[in-house]
Amino acid sequence: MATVTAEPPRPTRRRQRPPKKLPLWRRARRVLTAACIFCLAVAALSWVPAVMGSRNLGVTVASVEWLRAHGGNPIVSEIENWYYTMNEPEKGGPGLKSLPKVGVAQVGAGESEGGEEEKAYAPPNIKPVMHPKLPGEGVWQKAGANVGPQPPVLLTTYRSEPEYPQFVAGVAWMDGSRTELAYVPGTAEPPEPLEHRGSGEVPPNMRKRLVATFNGGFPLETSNAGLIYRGKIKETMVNGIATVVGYEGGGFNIINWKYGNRVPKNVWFAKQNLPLIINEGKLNPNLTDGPEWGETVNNAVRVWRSGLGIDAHGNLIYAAANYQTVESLAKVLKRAGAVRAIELDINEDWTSFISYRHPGAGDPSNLLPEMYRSPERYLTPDERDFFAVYLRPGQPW
Amino acid sequence: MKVPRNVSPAAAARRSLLLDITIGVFIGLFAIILAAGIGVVGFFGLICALILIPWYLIEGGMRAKRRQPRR
Repeated sequence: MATVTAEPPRPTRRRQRPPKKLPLWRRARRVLTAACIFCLAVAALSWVPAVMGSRNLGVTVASVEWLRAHGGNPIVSEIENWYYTMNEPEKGGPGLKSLPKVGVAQVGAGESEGGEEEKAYAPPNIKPVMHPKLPGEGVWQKAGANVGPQPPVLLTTYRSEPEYPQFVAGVAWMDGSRTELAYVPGTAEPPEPLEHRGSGEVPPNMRKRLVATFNGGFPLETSNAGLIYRGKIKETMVNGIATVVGYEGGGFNIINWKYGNRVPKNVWFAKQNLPLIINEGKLNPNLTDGPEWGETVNNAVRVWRSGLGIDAHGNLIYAAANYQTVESLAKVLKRAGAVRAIELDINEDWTSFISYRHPGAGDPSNLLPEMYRSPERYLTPDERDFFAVYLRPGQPW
Repeated sequence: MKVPRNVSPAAAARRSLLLDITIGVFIGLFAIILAAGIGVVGFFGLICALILIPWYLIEGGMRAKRRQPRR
């Protein structure tokens, strides 16, 4: 009898290999990559137009500005503080043998011999801090050619800190009796909405009276302070903040704001920035300390800084230099005769003082050769707001 | 509609990839909502990218080297 042995059952389907499981860390990395790509794509939608639209800024500076304007101000300030602290200049070193040449001629040079014209007020030369003094140190020079006996803008340079014999401060003086001050919005600062923004440059019809232009202070985003433009409040005004005020008719002043969030009579513009660094002829006692200097580069960090003061006769004094603390800048302005002063922009990217040697904004030149922004800066659309100094109507060049 | 349970390894891998990407997008969305601004998100996104890209490149390079036949 034959025995029938049952065949082992054939597998009906080929057994599948179980799928190889990805380690958890690789899946976590994949999730992170997806999140990262998504965030970068969304950020790029905002960053690309911002960088492409910047007419006179490099990609790096435009990107930093974009980061500041989109919530990244504390990050930028931290990085800047860290960078500038790492690159702090050393004290001492060889002294300078000459100063950069500013202006076209010394005050008093080439004027009429007869002495018939009335002697106009001219500020006293700045007393040098270091000795022996260098040729032309602290001596006012006319900024414009053929400006006559009462030049509207004077320029000078001097070494402001004996501990740092290579630092040179540039100072400009603007005659309050012959000039008027205008606030000009940039193409991006102050931010929208803003009526009558203009094209972010000195209006062509005003250029025949233009004698100087300079940077306009922190953006509203970082200053946390106010702005009045054309008699209207653009940003809430804050009491106790240093304010450059322009009045209807072209007059100007630098004051400690105390009018609250309203527009006092005759005020045409008012730009605020941090507390006064000089008040009633004295340095602000908190210059070396305090959070009042805002969410920006620390007040003790040495960096390009600029400031604007007013002297006892109502004339404007602008000062700028590299490697300055708030305190050293205030000392520069005080030495030049300022009785009240406000800190303006910091960093080499924003610090500009440009004077024009000929009528019609002819032959523009930077106050200091290290100011790297083009002297044509405010004759073409600029991102940031600035101040323009014009001769008063009817005043001869 | 039910999602089939037994799927090929390739389909399972695709499914897990889709899930991971969805989770990633939600995390990104959450970060954008929480952050002070899109600049902050972009900044940290860039830092992450600067870490992840070399990581992938090094890993890919090492894998390619391992796959090369030894002589």
